[in-house]
Amino acid sequence: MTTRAESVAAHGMVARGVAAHGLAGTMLDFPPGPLDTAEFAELLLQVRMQRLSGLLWLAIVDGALPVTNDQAERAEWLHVQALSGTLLLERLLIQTVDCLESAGVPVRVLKGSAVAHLDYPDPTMRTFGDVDVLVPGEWFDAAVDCLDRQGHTRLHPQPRPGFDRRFSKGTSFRTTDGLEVDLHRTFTMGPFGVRLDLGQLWETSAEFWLAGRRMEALSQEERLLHACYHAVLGEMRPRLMPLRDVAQIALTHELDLVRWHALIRSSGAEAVVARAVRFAWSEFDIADVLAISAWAHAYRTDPRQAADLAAYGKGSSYTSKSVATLRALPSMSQRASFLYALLVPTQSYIDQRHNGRLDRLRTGWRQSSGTRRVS
Amino acid sequence: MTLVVETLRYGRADELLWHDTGRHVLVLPTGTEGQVSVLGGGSAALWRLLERPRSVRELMAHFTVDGAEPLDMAELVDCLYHLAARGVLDAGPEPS
Repeated sequence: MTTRAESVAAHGMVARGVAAHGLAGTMLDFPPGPLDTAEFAELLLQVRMQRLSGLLWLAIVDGALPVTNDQAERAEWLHVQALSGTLLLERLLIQTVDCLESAGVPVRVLKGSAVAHLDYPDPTMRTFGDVDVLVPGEWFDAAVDCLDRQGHTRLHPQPRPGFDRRFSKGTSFRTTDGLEVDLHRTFTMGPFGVRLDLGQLWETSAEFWLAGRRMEALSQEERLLHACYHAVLGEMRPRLMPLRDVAQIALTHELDLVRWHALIRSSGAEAVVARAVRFAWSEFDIADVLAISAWAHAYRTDPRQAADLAAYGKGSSYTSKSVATLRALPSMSQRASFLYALLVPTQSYIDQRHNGRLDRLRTGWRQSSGTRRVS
Repeated sequence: MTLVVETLRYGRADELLWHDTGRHVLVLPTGTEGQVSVLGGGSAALWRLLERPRSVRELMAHFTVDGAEPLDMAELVDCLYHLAARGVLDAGPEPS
């Protein structure tokens, strides 16, 4: 009889196997027979949380993961539900891109839909939960106006006018149907978002088609870089789908390594990339050695990037990332503007986010002292 | 009904989003606030056949001769009406 700990570990292993299914070079394998009812329920829970329904269904259809008829039905139904959501999001994506482009705003589709169509052999393998688009900073306010006019509700106010287009990662909107559009200016908050070479992101693009409509996404090197940021700068333990994206893009495409290394060097992103690639290779037990994986395993993090990474680690908060952002901003005038916006936000910002200025100060103090205790 | 069978060819509408799980097909028109249609069995098989426009006669030939999913004429016409009502199907005249 297996213990609870062994059982949980086994579930984790099966979920990792699902996330790695179809990936060249993975050494992960599935159990020889169907999971029992409780184990399969646990697996479905993980699959739902990690948006792995497409890969689970494929593993079943391919005969790699043995299942009972009932388990196959439940897995497919979970996938049908996820794909229904994906279709609604893709329709919202088309509407969003149409709206932005009609206002003259340059736009690149990020993450979910772009990666699904450009990097996976079948887009149904990669489901997703929101719409992500990137716009240039100078067009950010126009893009916000566009989405406002669409009737979407902005979820995060900016501390002062012009803050988001200069400093923030972006902002989010909710539609009347409860769907979410994330409008990005850069890939992430904090120092890695500040140092990202935004100019290079817009130099080239890749295209894919949705319902006869041409969409522009980042080129493959930039998509891989974004996948790395998404995988390791979001949560303490990287989620499986973003890690799969890292491995999928790295293993599927022949990267222009000169361009790739220039991009990560100019963005100061070596530590992020190395961490993401090492995690992906380890989590999926990938035997194949690529130039990028060999580089990642040999890379030694430089002290400045190690300090930057710490801003995203345990105890990370809006305040700790803001402090790290302040250090990373390249000019004194930018630092002064950034600091002024955070210290003296507009009254409407305070009203929406906090119960007055004192509550805002308390929150900031609590977050920064919490960070200090941990570090 | 005879007129429809004799003269029209049915195909997928132009501006559609759809995915195929291998068992079910999910379809959503982009230009409206319509809902996702989930097609299974004969409806899913019909959808796959409509990769290019076909007449009811052609479709029926598939379902009666080499179709894996059984679908009689009444069910086929029902399916076509259902898909057309959802805005995911176009009908045009047979080329002369």
